[in-house]
Amino acid sequence: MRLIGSRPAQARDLTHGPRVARLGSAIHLRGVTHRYRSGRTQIEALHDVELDIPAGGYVALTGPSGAGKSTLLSLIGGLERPQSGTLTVGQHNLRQLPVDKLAAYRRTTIGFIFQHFGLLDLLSARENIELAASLSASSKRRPQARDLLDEVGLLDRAEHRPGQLSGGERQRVAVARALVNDPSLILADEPTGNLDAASAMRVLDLLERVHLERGCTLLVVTHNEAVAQRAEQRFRLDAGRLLP
Amino acid sequence: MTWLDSLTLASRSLRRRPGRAVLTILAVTLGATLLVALASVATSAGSRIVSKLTNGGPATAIKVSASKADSDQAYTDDLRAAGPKAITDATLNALRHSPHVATVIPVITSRIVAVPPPFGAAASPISGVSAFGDTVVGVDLIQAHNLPITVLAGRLPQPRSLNEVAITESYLDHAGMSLQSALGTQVEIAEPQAFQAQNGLQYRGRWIRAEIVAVVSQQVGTGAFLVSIEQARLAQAWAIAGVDGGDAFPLPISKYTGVVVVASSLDDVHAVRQMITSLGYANTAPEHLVASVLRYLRVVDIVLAGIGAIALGIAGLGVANALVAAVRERRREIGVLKAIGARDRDILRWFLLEAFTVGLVGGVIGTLAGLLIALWVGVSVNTYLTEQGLQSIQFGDVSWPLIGAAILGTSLLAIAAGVVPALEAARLSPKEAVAAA
Repeated sequence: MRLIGSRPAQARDLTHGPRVARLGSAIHLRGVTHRYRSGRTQIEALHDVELDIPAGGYVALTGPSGAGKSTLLSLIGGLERPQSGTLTVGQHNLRQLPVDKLAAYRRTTIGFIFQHFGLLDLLSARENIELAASLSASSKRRPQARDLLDEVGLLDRAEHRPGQLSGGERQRVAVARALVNDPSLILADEPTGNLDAASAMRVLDLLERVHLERGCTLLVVTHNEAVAQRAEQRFRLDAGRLLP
Repeated sequence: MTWLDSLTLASRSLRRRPGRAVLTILAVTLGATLLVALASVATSAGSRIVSKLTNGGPATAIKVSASKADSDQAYTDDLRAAGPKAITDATLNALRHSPHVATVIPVITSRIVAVPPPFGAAASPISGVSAFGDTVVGVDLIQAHNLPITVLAGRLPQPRSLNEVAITESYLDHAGMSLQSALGTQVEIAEPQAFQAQNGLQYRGRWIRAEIVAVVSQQVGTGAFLVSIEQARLAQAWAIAGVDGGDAFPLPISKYTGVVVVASSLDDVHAVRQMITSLGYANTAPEHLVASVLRYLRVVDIVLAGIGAIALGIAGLGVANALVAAVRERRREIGVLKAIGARDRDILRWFLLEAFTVGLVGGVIGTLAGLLIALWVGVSVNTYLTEQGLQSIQFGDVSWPLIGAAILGTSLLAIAAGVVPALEAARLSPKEAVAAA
């Protein structure tokens, strides 16, 4: 089933239309502060952030470079733990999850989409998706990968390596990979940052369609106001503080 | 992540940087080649030296004589005989049931008169130049591998054969034959029996004609003919059926002329010799000589192993270096894998399998190359020895344990070398790794 290219690339009223019951993970941050060291300097990336994203929500996070967007995404994605405050995603309290559980959380709850696609050049499009499926010990990795490639319109490019695909195609493969373990939360870090306008719109259409059809929570970090405009909710970070 | 996924990632990672992969494999190959070649040559040379010391028999063989041991027997490798002492079946049983004894092989010798060809009308009289008195040495030829016997040409007589003999080089001197020309010829042997006739002591012979099937060098007993123990037993029985033939053909005082006792291991030789001495029999074994030579060979082994270990160590550093570079290059990929849920052990397995692949491929190629080099060394050495008129040495026997140990060893070494970079990769923070993109 091909989902892309059939919907207009404009903001929609998501309270109407073919939405499924919301299955995504709600996100709650309470007093989250996070610092990191850069050389001898300690930088406060996030300061006392309070944020609630409802389950199945579609949220854009904007802000200038260095505002703390990627740090916030890393914390929600379980790539690192917040140093203070409380961060819960669905039933998971991320400050308290041990390393193995955190990896399992990333595997089963999160679907990551990176600005630079994050595909392994060593593997074909199909193998990239299958690898993500195999991390969850899926027994149907091959049909799953084929279905998802079909869904993103790239079944005929299944055996192509990332280097043989265009930017837009790579990002669609990345979306397919993010979906293979049926995540309840999709985190997209500048998903259109490396794409031309047409490819960017196709990818956004695809993400929104997935969000609608699967009911997963979608959090998009972007510099692009046009991209942010399409979300249900927008938040802005500046110097590590969430602006009202 | 399945093992197959890890293996796919490992093999494709190697193919992505073919130059680096080839150089790393080459380093392992060179290490394995050097180690296998040195070990193979050292083992061949060492076993050859021990074999030479023991005249082709096992280093654990002890020759027991039908003689009393004198008081110094326990302290020397040499035979210290002090008068006759019969070896009986009871003696053999006692030896067989003693601790640390692997095999007991009785020896029977008998005086004979040999007549080389030609026979019949053209034959020379017994008193002529061609006939000569000598001794047949009879052993169980199935146990020949446990005896100090080296086949110089041909093959050993069939066990229990009554019409095949092996000869020593002294027969060639008597018969005026060359080594190759003697094979396939026949020899007439008279097993003498003394009897009292009206005109005094007379002799008669039990004549056999046997084919010469081998030329051997043997230290089992003194005699130019090696025969089956059945043949020697018949000759002995024939002689005993007569009377004592005086100095020329005396009646045997012992059923067995000697015994070769093979100890279970080199470490047991001393204890077995002490046991034999305590039974009162003189005996000989190159016990102290072999132990001394083995100590020197051990030193050589250690030196060669040290050289091989240095080569393998350098190869291991090559593997580690290549993996460190690979980890640096793949921080983004590692980060992506961790971000999508890969565990530390998934990353660890990827890199360790890559190291293992390098070690395995290098080990297989290096082992084959090492064996070829050992063969080449053997050919070169033997060419030199032959030119110098010396006996050649058997090099390059394929030692499966050595091959297995070399391949397994290099694979494990590569894994060991890859542990630190692989752990570094596995412990990379996913955030750091993604940031590296």
